[in-house]
Amino acid sequence: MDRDEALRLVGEALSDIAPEAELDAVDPSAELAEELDLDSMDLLELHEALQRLSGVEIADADVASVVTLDRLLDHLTGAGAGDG
Amino acid sequence: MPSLGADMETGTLVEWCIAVGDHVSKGDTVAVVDTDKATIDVEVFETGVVTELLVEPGASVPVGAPLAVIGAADEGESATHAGDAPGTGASHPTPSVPPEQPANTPTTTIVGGPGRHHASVVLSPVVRHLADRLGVDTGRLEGHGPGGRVTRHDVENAARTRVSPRARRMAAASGVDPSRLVGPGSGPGGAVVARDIEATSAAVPHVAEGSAPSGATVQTGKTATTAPSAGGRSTPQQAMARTMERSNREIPHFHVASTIDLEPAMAFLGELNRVRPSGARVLPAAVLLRAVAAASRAVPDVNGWWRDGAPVAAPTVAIGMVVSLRGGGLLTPTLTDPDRCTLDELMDRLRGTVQRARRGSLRSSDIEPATLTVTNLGERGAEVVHGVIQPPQLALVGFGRIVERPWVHGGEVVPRRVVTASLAADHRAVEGHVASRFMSRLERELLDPAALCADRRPGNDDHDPHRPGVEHDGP
Repeated sequence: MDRDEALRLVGEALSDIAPEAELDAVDPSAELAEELDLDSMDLLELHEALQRLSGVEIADADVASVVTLDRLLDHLTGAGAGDG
Repeated sequence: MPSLGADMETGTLVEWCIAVGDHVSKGDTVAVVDTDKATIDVEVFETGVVTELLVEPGASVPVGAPLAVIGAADEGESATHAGDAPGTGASHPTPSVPPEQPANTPTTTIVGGPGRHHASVVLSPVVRHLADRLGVDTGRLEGHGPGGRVTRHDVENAARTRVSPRARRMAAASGVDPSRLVGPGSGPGGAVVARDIEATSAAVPHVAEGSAPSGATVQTGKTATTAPSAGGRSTPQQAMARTMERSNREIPHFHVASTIDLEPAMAFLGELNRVRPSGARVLPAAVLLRAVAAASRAVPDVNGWWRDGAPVAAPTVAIGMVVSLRGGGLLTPTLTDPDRCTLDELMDRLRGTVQRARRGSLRSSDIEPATLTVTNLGERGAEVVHGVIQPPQLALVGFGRIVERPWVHGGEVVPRRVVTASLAADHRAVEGHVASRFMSRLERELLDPAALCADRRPGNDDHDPHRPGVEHDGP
């Protein structure tokens, strides 16, 4: 999966949680939860939706490190490489 | 008309989801009702056959007025559709009936208007009209009402009007009730965005302040809106403002707070969640809720209502959870006995309830009268909150942000995750030392997460390592 595809999936995952989110307007190096006003329940739903859409799991231990959009995309593309 | 909130006096029937002759099972959604706080799917308490609908859609009736008549199920015809009704699969907490609250009797003979539908009709005219208006293809819809009936919420979920926070703010500022915006808008996926509001507000007439919000729908360009509410605030927000005023006026509040070592509970959750996929993880909020329930069983003075000049102890523990909505506003759905199911069940219920609250599809079982309310500021909240009690309850528990702080543990200063919990209490019913007992019990529960989160079943209290007994004063 490339970065554009990952971004698209994040947008799709967010569509139920923060329907108005415009990812282009988000600072990719800032905390995503802060940018989009997401609480812990929203993040849980986001990670679950991403797992469902991309097949890439975000382990509990990684949750604290994928806090920015950049890092989230890194995780999705890095873990997805070679898995198709 | 069930009581769907402490202050509710009347409700408006929006539509029926049943017709005369339908079989209904306990828990089925049978009607949609508008209160001034939210639109709620009303579930029926009985199993049987609808023999008469006594109220017309659009009518406002007082709480307690019968809406329809349900007769006993015909012999030979199975009335147990509990497994058949999709959408009601998740177990509902058993409705708790607070004492002396006549509006909430379980023997619901709902009052309804003469049924116009036959069992074979899947869509009521109201729902069909709504689907047409929202551009939803009903042929593809899955119905979640009794007998597979397509309900209003099925249609709304399919249409899912999304409104950006900026659009909401603009709507409110220009006097349009943001909770009543109907798309599709011009944003991605049909979301209503700011420019839609700009285009609409020019055409929407402004209503003089103080007049009641109208239900009229204005179709302007791509966005349909209702006539604006007074002062630019939504009806639910106005209702909340009135509740807060009443609380401050009537209840002599006092507050206590304690900072609690949450490291054991967080470590417990960390271990649990480490090997679980996101969909199965448990959030700290669930554990905090469970601890509040356990503590209130031990200190029942804080769990109940003020009624006719005296405190009334509640027969169960039904925690009202403050849920913040995107774009502003709060709802407080209820979770009953959150310490009497497994931790995983609790997390499922919590997720489902928060989702329904945020999507505007709360059911009547979600908003049964609470016995105690909890407000949790969350990860980006302040460190402590001293809340406002929801009348007629006696108390409100607040949680601030979980933070890492220096803490004395084992004689040394070490970093630990801690949370500051507060209790706002009604001083007519609760005294300082009782409030303190509650806080220390809350702390005790949280310091032993394994026991707190162990599976508990009603009536199995004898096997509990921490038998919930009434706390007594003393060292």
